[in-house]
Amino acid sequence: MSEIIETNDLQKQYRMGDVVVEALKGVDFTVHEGEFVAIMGPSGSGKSTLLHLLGGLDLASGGEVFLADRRLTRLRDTAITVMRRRHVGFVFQFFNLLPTLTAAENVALPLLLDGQSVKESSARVTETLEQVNMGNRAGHMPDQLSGGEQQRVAIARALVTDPEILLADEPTGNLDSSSGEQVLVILRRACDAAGQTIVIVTHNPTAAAFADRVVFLQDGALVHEILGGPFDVSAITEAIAHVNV
Amino acid sequence: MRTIAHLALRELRRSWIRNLFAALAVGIGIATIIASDLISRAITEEIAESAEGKAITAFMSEQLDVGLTAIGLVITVGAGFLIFNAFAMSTTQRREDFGRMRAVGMTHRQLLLMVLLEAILTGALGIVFGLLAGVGLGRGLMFLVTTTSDVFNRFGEVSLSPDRLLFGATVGLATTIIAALLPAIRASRTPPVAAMRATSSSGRNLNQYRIAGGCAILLTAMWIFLIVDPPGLWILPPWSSYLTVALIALWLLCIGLSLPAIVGLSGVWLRRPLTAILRLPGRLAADNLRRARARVTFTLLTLIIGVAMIIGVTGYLGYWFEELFFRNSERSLKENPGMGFFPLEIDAGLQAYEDVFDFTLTDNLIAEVEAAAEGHAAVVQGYFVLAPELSFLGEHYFSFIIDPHSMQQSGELFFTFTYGDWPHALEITDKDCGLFLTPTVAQKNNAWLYDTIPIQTPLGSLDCTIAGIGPTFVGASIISDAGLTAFNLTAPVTLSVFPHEGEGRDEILAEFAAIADRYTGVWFTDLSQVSKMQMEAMGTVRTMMSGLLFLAILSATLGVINTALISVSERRREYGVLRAAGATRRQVSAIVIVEGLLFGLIGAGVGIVVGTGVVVIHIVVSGGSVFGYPDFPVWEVALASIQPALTRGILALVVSPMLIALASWLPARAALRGTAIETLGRRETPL
Ligand SMILES: Nc1ncnc2c1ncn2[C@@H]1O[C@H](COP(=O)(O)OP(=O)(O)OP(=O)(O)O)[C@@H](O)[C@H]1O
Ligand SMILES: [Mg+2]
Repeated sequence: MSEIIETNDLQKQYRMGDVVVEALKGVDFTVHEGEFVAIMGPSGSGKSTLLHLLGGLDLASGGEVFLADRRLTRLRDTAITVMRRRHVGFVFQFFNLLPTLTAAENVALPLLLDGQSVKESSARVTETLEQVNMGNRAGHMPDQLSGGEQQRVAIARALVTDPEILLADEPTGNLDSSSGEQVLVILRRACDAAGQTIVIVTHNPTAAAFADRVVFLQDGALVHEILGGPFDVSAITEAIAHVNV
Repeated sequence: MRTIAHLALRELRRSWIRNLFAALAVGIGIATIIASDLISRAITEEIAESAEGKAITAFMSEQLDVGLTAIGLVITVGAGFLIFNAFAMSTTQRREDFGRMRAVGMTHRQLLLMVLLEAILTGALGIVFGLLAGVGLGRGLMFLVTTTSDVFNRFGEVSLSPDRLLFGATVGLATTIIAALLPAIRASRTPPVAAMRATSSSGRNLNQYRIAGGCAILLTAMWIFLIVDPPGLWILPPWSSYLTVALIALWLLCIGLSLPAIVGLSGVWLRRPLTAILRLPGRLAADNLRRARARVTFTLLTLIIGVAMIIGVTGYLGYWFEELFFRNSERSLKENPGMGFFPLEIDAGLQAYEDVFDFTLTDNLIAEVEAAAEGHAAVVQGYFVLAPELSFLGEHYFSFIIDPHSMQQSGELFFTFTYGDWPHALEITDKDCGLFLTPTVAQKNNAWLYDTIPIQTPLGSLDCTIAGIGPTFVGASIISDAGLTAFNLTAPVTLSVFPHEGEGRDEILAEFAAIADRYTGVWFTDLSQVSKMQMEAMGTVRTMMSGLLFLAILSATLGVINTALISVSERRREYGVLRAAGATRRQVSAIVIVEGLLFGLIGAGVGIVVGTGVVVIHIVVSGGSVFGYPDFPVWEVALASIQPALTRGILALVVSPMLIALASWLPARAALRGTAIETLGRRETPL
């Protein structure tokens, strides 16, 4: 299997006046094509920061990110954007949807931005919405949806371009266990059937158990990983206990 | 209380650019009030020394005062709306913040106190700015006028009146506070959770289309009425004013109520063509028209008010000064050009009044002129008095005292009958005191033709009967010669001579000029020259009003920039999401710009319609009723008056889209400068 994501000594510092927060302190991280990876770690350990850098949403302070053999850190912003639009789906922890667009329009956004017409995109949009069980809510506005429903629409938007890579920050954070499981099944299927590469950030051992590999982040550094998933939930909790010791 | 003050200050600091704009807008409103007061008082004060001098100059300052006050009021009200809009918009956009604060335990009162503090601090800054700008503007305009005008070439030195200062400050502060508090009260009443939910109600509101439909029918009926039977042809004051106000109110109300439907329909209609031409940006802009209610309404309202104000004031000035004021004198001077003797150099403007103490012509001169005119020309002795009851505008507009017989022979310059006729009028004036008035002055005294009204004179009350109603020279009331003794007058201020038809005008002119030459302090001028000076004076009044109008444009511009800034700061999260979903900076900028252009076009377009409607309704309903012109061509005048205004409107149609687009794009560009995450997350912006 070839490497589709690779980081070398990836660093990120946030500077606020005199205070420097080291969110990532030199992370070497690799993801293979078609792999499903979960990132776990305590709050503030740098999980979201890492995911943002992988998706080219933020600029690294040092080190390199390679995405599908392209060195993101060298590309210009427009190139990164187009790359993200076509090859990467991203689901945020918060604020995912445009409040003035319907669910369907939110999902269609990456396609429309890429120059498709509404007509061209509509079949694919309906299909993706159905995939996340939101087919009957296509015409609703975000403020008419629950937090979990909004999250599912966001996942549909990330999947709509059929991206090689899907990056999701706490995709099940707002969901009850059964709809959370639905989402994870969707992601797992995307990985198995379509060969998509999936990286999720999660606090939930049940969610992490769906992954092929779980990596643990602490204070901005990778401290542990377990291989050979899908896992038993107990394997995950054991690993968490191991890291915390 | 300390915490609240701290929060208020934090908010002001965080959004300092927007608050600065709001303060400037408040300041401009106040500056208008102060400048108009300074200018109008500067004219009479310390210039005219004698009673006659005051009487004559007061006529100009009264025009200026009434005009400036009216325009100033319109602009203040308009600016007030704009300020209100800006505040209401920013408060509405902070609903979510308010919700969070309420959720963590801030009480209604604490919330309102916080907003109140912010408003007071912003308002105070605006007041300081307004006082300085008002004085500067007033003096600046006067300087400009003294150096360029032939008439208003001398102004008195006046100091600020504390009353006006207080008035201006109160208006400014009150507007700011109301504008900030009203929406805050509403926001504090919504439950915290509802407030925190993003606001973007969708769905078509059937009701709004029903209202718009009703309004459309009502307005159609109104316009048909105005076209078929223009009230300006038959209406009299004060009904002309009442009907004008009522129909304008109907017009504004209906358009205001229909605005949501207009905006919604434009969104629906424009979606297809905009998507076809501009793809995604066009589509999003069209959709936002319908969906981003609050933002769209505030932005559009600001523009509409601004543009309508410009159109309205320009159109009104055209109507008053070009069509109404000199209508009669221009025509009659063309028919029967007269000449006049004056005790001062009319051509020298206000300067001339400075050193002249005796404003009367001597008996010798009068005798000589009358002898020379015998059989060749009509001579009219003109006296000027101040009779508040008969004042055409305000309280200090002059009235004439003229012998009706000489007036009858002089043609139509001084007076034309719309109601009444010469035989009846002369019958009255030969016995008693008679009056020749405009309908405005008659109605002001609750009287009509052949009614008797008491006039206060130095010798007590004088009963005068209205002998004729119709247009008079510049609107001034005319008292018959019975008023002379009551007002203690012995010598006239002017002598006007009107050569009989067929007489050699040039010879007569030369003969009179020779007489004038023999008297010192007497000037002999063609009356059309006087009329020209009057027009010049009016032109200056117009210049000053345009100066104030410039302020209105400025404050509208500030308002527009302000709303654009607010929406961008509110929407950076949206831009961040777009960027994360794969939109390039250029695409997001395109969305912002297209939306700005679209809002600008619709706002300016509706503004033009609103402003034009106000002017046309006013002219068609009021017509020439203020002066009592018979057969006033209402529609012709309405169309003529609206033309210069429309030129400005077209300018607004070009400028406002660009202005909004620019005002949205600049801060959006700053917001988009960093990475997508920075766009999403950075809260510390000064907007
Ligand atoms: N814009 C920012 N400015 C300053 N510090 C930041 C910023 N964003 C993140 N940080 C800091 O970087 C560190 C890592 O943040 P990150 O969001 O990656 O954590 P996380 O692992 O996703 O936490 P959580 O599980 O709570 O979402 C934290 O200490 C955080 O405070
Ligand atoms: Mg996180």
